[in-house]
Amino acid sequence: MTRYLLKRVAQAAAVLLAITALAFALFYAAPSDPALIACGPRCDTAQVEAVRASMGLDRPLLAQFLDYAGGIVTGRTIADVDGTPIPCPAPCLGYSYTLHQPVLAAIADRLPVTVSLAAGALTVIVVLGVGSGLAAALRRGRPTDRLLSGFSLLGASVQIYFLGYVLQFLLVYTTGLVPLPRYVPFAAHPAQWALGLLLPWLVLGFVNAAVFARLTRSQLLETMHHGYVRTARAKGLGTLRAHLKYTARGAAGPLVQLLGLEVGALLGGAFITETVFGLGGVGKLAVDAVNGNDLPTVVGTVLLAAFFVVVFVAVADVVVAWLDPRVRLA
Amino acid sequence: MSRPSALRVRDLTVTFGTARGPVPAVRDISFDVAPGEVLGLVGESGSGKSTIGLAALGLHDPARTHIEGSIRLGGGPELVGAPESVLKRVRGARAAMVFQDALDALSPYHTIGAQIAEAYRVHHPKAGRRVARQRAAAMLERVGIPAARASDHPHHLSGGMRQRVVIAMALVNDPDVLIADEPTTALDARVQRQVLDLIRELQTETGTAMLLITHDVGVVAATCHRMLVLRAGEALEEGPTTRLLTSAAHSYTRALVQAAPTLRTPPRSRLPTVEDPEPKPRATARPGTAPAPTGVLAELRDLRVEYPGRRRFRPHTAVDGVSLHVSRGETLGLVGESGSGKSTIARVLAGLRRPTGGEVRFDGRDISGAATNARLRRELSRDVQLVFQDPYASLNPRRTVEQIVTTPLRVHTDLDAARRRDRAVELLEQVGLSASHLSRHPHEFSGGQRQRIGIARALAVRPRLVIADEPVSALDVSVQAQVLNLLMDLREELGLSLLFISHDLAVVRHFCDRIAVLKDGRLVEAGPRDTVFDTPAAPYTKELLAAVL
Repeated sequence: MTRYLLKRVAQAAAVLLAITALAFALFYAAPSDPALIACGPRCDTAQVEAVRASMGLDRPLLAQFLDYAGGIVTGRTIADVDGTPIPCPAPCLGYSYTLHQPVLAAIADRLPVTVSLAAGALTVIVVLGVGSGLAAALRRGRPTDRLLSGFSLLGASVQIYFLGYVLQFLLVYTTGLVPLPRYVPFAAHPAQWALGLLLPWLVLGFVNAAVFARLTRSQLLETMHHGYVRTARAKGLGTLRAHLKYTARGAAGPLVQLLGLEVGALLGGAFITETVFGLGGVGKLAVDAVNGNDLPTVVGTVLLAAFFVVVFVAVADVVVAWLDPRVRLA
Repeated sequence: MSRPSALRVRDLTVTFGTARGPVPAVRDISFDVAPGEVLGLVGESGSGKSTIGLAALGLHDPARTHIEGSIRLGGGPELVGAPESVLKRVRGARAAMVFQDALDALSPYHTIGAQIAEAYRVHHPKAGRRVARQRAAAMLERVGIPAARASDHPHHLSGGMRQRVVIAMALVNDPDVLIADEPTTALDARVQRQVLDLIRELQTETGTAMLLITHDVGVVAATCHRMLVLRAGEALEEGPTTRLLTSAAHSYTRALVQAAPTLRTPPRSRLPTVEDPEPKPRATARPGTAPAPTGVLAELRDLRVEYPGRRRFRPHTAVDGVSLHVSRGETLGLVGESGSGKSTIARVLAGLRRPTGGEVRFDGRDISGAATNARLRRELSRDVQLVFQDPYASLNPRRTVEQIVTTPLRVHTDLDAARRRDRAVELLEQVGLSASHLSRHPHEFSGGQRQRIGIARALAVRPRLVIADEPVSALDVSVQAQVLNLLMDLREELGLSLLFISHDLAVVRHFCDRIAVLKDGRLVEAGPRDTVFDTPAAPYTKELLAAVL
């Protein structure tokens, strides 16, 4: 198990390094000139060149990349447009000349929103998805199963912006059951935090739960017919206990893997949901950065999203290996 | 019977509810098993034998199954219709089950020690973990597995050891009744013998009553006091094993007993089947002899095949320096246990696998490159055709019989559609089917019929060598006899040369002219049938022969 763990961590690190290089290459492949953007529209050529020099953009590409990658590990000092040194401690993701703050600080400001959104949505996904998949599997072929299948098809086919606006119209504007979504820090007021995010949670959760419901159902039905579940019952275990101990464990692998991917993706920012409900999370930050040509922030958010996905996929793999000893051999 | 029976079944009827209405699986079965007695429940697939075993433990899905009649253990309560709480106390404690496929029956997620200990703790809730662990270790030792391996997972064990674990798990609570459902069917002959001996030894020692469910008359002969023959869900005949094996009243039982060739059956004779229980010897055939072979058709010299190892593991040598040949008009039998390299040799000769070393010749021509040379393989497949083991997996379910049988003709001949169809009809009639089957799909046929379709496909282009890889091992004994009879007829009619691969020594002895014995990729012994079977030279061949039931 230890060997498997080490192997998996090394793999994750390699993938992250490759993504860093790719994102950095993207930064320089972009048609816009970072120095020009940083300097502003009223700069003349000499001023742009000065800015370019102070930003270090005149140095060889490889040196710049090593600076950037090194900054992530050890931190570095970045020169602002006018040459003022700005300390950027590790993990330094660069400096946004548009927001006038280190990219990491910009992300850190907005991450609580994204994390709150992801946490609630994941709860909804797991409870709704796994729960309805379980119910459908236990009542296979009966009306409950068909009803739940219909619901999950609806969830899979409906778009977030459509469902979001519909629910907002019905629950907020028409009936007033739920307040208009807004972000209140959890530490400041837990109840308002939950109430303010309830609608986004439900929408994001419902749409993503569909895949989980379908996978849960098919996994359970497949595992249920394995001989070892029957063996457990032949030993004298009750049906429920046999299912909890054996069926659930057999069915869990693919679900854990999908969940890992989902956690990573949600923490990287849920742009559409954030936009629909006017929440300022990392997704919104990324899209604003793209629109505003704020390349350091674009690269930073891309890296962050990749980081979360890689880390949680690796965590999921380790959990699967823990669940199934046969995986550790591969 | 004076002693009270350990298991008493009366008028048992089991009906499965399906989408197309109720389907009876078992009708009006009654029997008793006394303490210490072994009753064999014998029948072919679909006879309902496993259904009875599952019903005895109440393991059927109550939503889809309707059970009538009575099942009692000793003087215990009625089990048919009993609530789950009663059944839970019986299962694994008073009656326990040994399932067929140990790899599937054991959880891949838990250690074998934990799985045995769990079976103990379920019925001894007051026992601590340590006691249960000790008990599991003791049970492992009793079935011949070192207690130190308790922390292994099932995938670390061999097939025979896994089956031993399943037996240990069933016996951990000293049940009054042990139900063993095909406990050795998935095992090699030598391991089967060991496991059967172990079951019998433990059963005698503990005085447990045993219900042994099997399709294999040989297993019954070796283990059971009495046997009950089932056919299509009904009891046909019951009695002491010795009487039923020698002088059964019912012709079906006689056919079942004699359909599987033994080491005493005259080679090349027609085997009795259910439809034809007392076959006449073929008029044209000279029993026991084969036409004199004329020249070598296919030849392997010092063949070596390695499968690449994964990551840092060394490559696995599947075939290691094997030399053998098939002469024209001869049938060579290739015998060995699983993993001995039989199928790999078949793949090399069919041009599907590139040898790592050595020579492969067909009709004098070097064909070792056929696996990587599409043209050579195509030419080779004109002359060498395969019949596969699994008649369910080897026919494409989306194609009609006509498409299946005529595909080789389309590839290898310039016959037009009408003439291909004529040839397909001719082939189907040769294998005992008819033109009306042309437009059907494989799922409409039984296993034996499917195997006939597979044979027709292989014969379509009139190949010079037919490689049959375990062609009858997935079939019921009486169907196996039919297919073997068919293959013998076709061989004579068409003068086929065959490479016949099997793990079943009795079948090989019956069907083949020369025998080659393989072990771990090496050739142990090769020679004419009578020499190998009557005076085997290698100790391994003797061991294999001794394990035949």
